[in-house]
Amino acid sequence: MSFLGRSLAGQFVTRMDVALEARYSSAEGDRGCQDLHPVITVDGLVKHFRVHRREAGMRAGLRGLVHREYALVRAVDGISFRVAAGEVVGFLGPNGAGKTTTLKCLAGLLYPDAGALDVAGFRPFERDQDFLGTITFVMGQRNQLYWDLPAMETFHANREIYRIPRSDFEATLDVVVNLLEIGPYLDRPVRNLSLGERMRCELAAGLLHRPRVLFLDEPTLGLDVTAQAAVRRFISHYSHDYSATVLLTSHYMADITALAQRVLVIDHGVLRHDGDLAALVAQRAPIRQITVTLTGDVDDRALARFGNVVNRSKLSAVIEVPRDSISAVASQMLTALPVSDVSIADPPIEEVIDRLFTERDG
Amino acid sequence: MTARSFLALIKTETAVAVEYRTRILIWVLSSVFPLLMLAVWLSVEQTSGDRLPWSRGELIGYYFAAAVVSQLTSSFLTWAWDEDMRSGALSFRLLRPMHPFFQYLAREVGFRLVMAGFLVPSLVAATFAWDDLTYSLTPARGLLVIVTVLCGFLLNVLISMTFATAAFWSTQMANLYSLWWGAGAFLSGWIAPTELLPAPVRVASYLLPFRSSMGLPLDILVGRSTAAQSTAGLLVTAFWFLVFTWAFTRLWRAGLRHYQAVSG
Repeated sequence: MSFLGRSLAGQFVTRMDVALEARYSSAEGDRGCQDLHPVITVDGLVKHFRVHRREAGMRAGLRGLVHREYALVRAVDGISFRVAAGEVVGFLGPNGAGKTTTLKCLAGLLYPDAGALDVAGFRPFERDQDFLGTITFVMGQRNQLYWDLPAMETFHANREIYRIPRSDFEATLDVVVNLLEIGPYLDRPVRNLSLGERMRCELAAGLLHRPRVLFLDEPTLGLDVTAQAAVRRFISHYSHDYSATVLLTSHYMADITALAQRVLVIDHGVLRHDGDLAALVAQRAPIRQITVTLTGDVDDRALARFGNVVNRSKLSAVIEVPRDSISAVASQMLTALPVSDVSIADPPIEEVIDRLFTERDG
Repeated sequence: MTARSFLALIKTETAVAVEYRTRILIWVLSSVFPLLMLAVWLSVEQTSGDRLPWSRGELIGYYFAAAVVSQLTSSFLTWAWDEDMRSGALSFRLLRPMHPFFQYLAREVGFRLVMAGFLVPSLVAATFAWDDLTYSLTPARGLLVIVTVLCGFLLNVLISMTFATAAFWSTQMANLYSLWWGAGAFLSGWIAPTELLPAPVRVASYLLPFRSSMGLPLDILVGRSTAAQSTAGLLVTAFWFLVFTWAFTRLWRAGLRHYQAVSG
């Protein structure tokens, strides 16, 4: 058991925990039974918005006074999926794909137009207080902390609102402060913190009540690489130690690859892929990339015989090769070229995702 | 939600309220507006002689107290809600296991406590410093003033929360509330003690909710309200409290389905 788990195991058992423990005990104990006990069930979720449409200019503005035009935005259009206890699932899609809308429906902020939702045994939109104590929803660059007060004041307010026993609160706080390295910032007004410092405090505030289900919407948005890494590390620790179920959206693929075993790809409100990341890459990237380091000069045409040269310098090249002939081509290169090193990799995940959405647009 | 968590939230909101000294100073200074009305009424009193049923001392007592009571019972929740809705902060309040009504109520209480901490001692000090400013209060009447101020405050919070909730449908509710607030300024006893209003307007002011948070406690404080009138005033307050509780709960239930959780 890790540091986080050792520090808190057996100490922090709230009323919600007990209820959930009973409800999902087999999922906790046996990952093999996860499919039988999904913590999140989404069945045919639909959420449409009616939005006012208006052209630019004074004339359009005046026309809008007497006649308004509306457009229907199909933010989420009938998606279904399940997430088991302890799973960390990445939610991918371009801007406006419906990721955040789905998370908001799951957190009980939005009322679905159609479909059935179940989160930890609750119907989110009923907004049961026990349900709200079971989840957290962290939105990148959105502030739940009291802006004018040190973060510690929000932590104490949350202790009362979530009815966390003092000893449990102190134990959790200790661990969270250490893992997120926020000790030096706790006595400064939130408005005086940098984005990275504030975001780490946001995460801490969102997790002090030890939620079993985490909805994380762009939790590393705008952070520098160090802060991103700290946040990722923390989410990884937390989800592992408490079998917390995490649904995560991020435009940083590093977040997804570091944290998620499974990805949901959504586009125009429709689910386009549900499975592990490797399967997505294999399915959507029929090529792999061979990077060769050469010991001598080689003609471009000689390299082009093996595949599509996408990058070339004097003593190295990156060549795209069909996935199913990768071994044969690599072997031929080793014998035909003055090679000192060869590595084979999938194309960057960003390219795969980009290709997925570009194909749809095309 | 428990009483303990609500009290803890009031404590935090009070800490927020005391964070900006300049803001407190501006709010305290804005309390002087009723004193401008006092100046107008004192000149009326000088020219009208015995025809004005209120004495100079009563007018001074009324408007000095009005400067305090108006700050203690008003609610700016509709504007705060409007801002929170546009910024996305409302979503965070909805995610907490405490009804947003109590979160906003805690915010209002925190702010009013700070204002009370400045204004009530100032009023008491003024009674010692100026002979013309006196209140002949019995303990029972003093208690009644406190009760009516609290009831007026709660009713105002409930009314502004009801307007705020209607913002689930329209983004113009803060402006509509401004209209309501303007009408209230006239009928509440802010412009003139309600007893001095023309008869039909006076009757309207006794029956509508505006007087509950201003004229009623002030009339009791300066001794211009009989026990029967005070009881009637409290019954009117209770009636409107029920009306707005009904309206708020209905609007809240229906409005949540319209919430679009913008900004984030």
